[in-house]
Amino acid sequence: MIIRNPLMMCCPLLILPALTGCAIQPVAAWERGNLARPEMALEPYPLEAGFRQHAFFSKESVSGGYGIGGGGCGCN
Amino acid sequence: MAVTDHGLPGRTLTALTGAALALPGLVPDSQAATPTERQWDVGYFYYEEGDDRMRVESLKQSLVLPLGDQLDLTLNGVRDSISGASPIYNLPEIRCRDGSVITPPVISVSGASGTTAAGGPRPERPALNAGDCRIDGARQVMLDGTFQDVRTAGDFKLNYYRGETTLGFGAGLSREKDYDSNFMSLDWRQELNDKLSTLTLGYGLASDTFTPLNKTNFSEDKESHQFLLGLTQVLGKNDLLQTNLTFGYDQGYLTDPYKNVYLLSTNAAVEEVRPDARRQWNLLTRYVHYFDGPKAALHLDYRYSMSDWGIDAHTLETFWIQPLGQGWQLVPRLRYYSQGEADFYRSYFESLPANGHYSSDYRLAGFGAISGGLKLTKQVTDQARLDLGVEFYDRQSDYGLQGHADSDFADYGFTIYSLSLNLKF
Amino acid sequence: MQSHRLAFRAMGSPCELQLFGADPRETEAIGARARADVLRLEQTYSRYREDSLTSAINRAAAAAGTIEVDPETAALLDYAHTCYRESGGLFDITSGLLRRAWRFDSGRLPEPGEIAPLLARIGWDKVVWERPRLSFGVPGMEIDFGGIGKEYAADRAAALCADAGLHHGLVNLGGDIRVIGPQPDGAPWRVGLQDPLRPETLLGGVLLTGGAIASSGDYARCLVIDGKRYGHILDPRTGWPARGLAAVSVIAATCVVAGSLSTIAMLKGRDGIPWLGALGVPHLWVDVDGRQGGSGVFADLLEARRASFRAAAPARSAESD
Repeated sequence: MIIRNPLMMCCPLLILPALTGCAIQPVAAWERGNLARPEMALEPYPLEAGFRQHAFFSKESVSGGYGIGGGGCGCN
Repeated sequence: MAVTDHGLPGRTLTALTGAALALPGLVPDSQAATPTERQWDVGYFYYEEGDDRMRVESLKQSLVLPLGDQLDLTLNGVRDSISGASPIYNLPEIRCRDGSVITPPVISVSGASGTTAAGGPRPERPALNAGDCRIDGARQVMLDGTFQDVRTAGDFKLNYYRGETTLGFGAGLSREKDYDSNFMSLDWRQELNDKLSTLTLGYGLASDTFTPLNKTNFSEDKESHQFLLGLTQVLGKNDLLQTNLTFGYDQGYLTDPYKNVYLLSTNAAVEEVRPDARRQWNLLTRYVHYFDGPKAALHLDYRYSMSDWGIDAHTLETFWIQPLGQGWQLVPRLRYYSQGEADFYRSYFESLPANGHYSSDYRLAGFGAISGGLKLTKQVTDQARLDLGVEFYDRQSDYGLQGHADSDFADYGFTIYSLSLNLKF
Repeated sequence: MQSHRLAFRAMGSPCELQLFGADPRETEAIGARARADVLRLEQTYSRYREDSLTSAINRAAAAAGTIEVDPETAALLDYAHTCYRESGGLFDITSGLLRRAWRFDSGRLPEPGEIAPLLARIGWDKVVWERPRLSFGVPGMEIDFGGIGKEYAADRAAALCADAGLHHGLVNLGGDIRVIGPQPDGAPWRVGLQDPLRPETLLGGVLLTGGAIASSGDYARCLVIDGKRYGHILDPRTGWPARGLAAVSVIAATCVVAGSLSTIAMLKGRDGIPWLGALGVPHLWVDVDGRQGGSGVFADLLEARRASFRAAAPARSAESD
């Protein structure tokens, strides 16, 4: 397969500024079905996310951003 | 009673909706945010670094209990068993014209005891300015593998739902042989704009005490403050965007007493010293999109981080949740991380810098890391879901974007295996 | 999470509650309360029952009298008044008298001269509604909550369940549907839509996690004479069935609004199509010639239907890219 337009590969990245820039369409309550799906939660796997964030926090110099709370080290 | 011509369509809908809402008992009182359902998550996680370095076995659980119509309580518990070797400092390697590779002698190691590869009498360091020998790279000196610790932590979070407002309060503690942490958090979430937007304000405080095992009668404190301002916005029926701005302020003993720096001028390894305050900003954007065709969800997160230790970092993460039918889901995941080095980081030092801050901790070096993972989940019954996952992490100093690619001696990788169960009951 | 299904008959239709709750006994009790409320409304507003409030109002109406009503009925009359005003007089709760001329089980059209005297006793403009007093200006009038009552009951049943702590479920009162909340796994409900011209087949399904859907159409009761369909939705201005559309479905936040919008659109005939479009509510229409159109999820449904027809048609040679 030949990718004719290499820009297509960047699409997910381009969506972000594009969407935040445009007017937001009102979405009625009965149109929010997909948004209510568990896989559409911002953090669908909170237990795993907790472990991963702790691992990255222990091995990289920056942490945080995803929420508030938590503590402890275990960070050798 | 006059019959008006039917008015503007927008007005018609407003008029009918208004009259309908005046009907008794038509809309539930509890239309706003409501407590979460009862559920229990339990998971086993195994973290393993390459080259027989550190291993962590972790058991985690999280129980969510609704308490009436306006409250829910989350109870979290974790027990980590940590063992294995970790790097203490870096020894420069000296390469000479005759082909020999010499590591310089270490006169004294304060703090942790290091193991150098050389046995017997230590060689004298050859002159570096004569032209025959030069420093070419470095290698890590490890804190030996007998290191073991157990971390036990528990916390609770109470959410109070009132109309379109949710208030959260949480607190907890974490205990290790050498590190105690007590923490609390407060947050306020407000749904706006017919629940299309959620504004979040949060504050967290952690108060930690470090009593390193390699020192006697030594104890130091650290305090961390975190502030969060977040906005979650429904962009369309398949699109959700969250932007969080966080500011963290850490104050107190931020040094890692197990980490040393090697000084070439004196052939000594001495304990590192970090500034006693750090300010860190994160800007996180998370975007979720639902694809009607494959019935899949795409998650895309980008975080930009900046700290007054001179480190800036980019984190880009994406995962895709693909249902396979019959309750199976496959979740491939990809993460890229890149950080610049701290202002006071060097692999080793000629002599102690004048400002009094120095560290050779590989985590303060510039590097990049790529990780990829795969997760398989199966809805076993209406109530139970089983998750199985693996993720590989590869740290390479030349994966970094910020151009500090000289810490390749510290490159390593780790693997996380996870097995967890989610029960709704 | 346990599923609880409750089926019963009320308001002349099959009714169904599908509820999910943690405690089966509690869920069942909540379902029973919701059903009791539906039956209470049927008892209060049925025009067939001698002891109903509607019958009491109509006794006053027969004598061109005045009656004072309770707050719930007052709110329903306010709503009916709003529908009358916003529909330009098409939606009229006094038009039920026309059923005396239109007997859909008789197989015959009204006699000439049967309709005009009825029209003289029809019209919300002949009524003085000053909360809480309702006065009838002409003797022999009648009111009928048939176009509002069932939808209102569906909304109330759903709200009652939600207030009792059930967040997953669906209320279906004879095709007037109000969603309490998505299925326990967050998945939407799939609501099947009958093809108005071939009632035994489905047009397709729409997915709902909230809100309500109501339909209005002549497939339920109509008269076919010499191949011509006469629907049961009667225009209070002419006394004759509304023409043009065979069925309309509307999705709105509440079932009452969805129901009255679909009825008003039917009464408007083909003018109802642009009117629904301008309202901006998701809707589906089918006209008497079988043409279909719609917006929102219904447009997606029709598109999917057309695509499946295309796929079913014999494929021409595949074109290379």
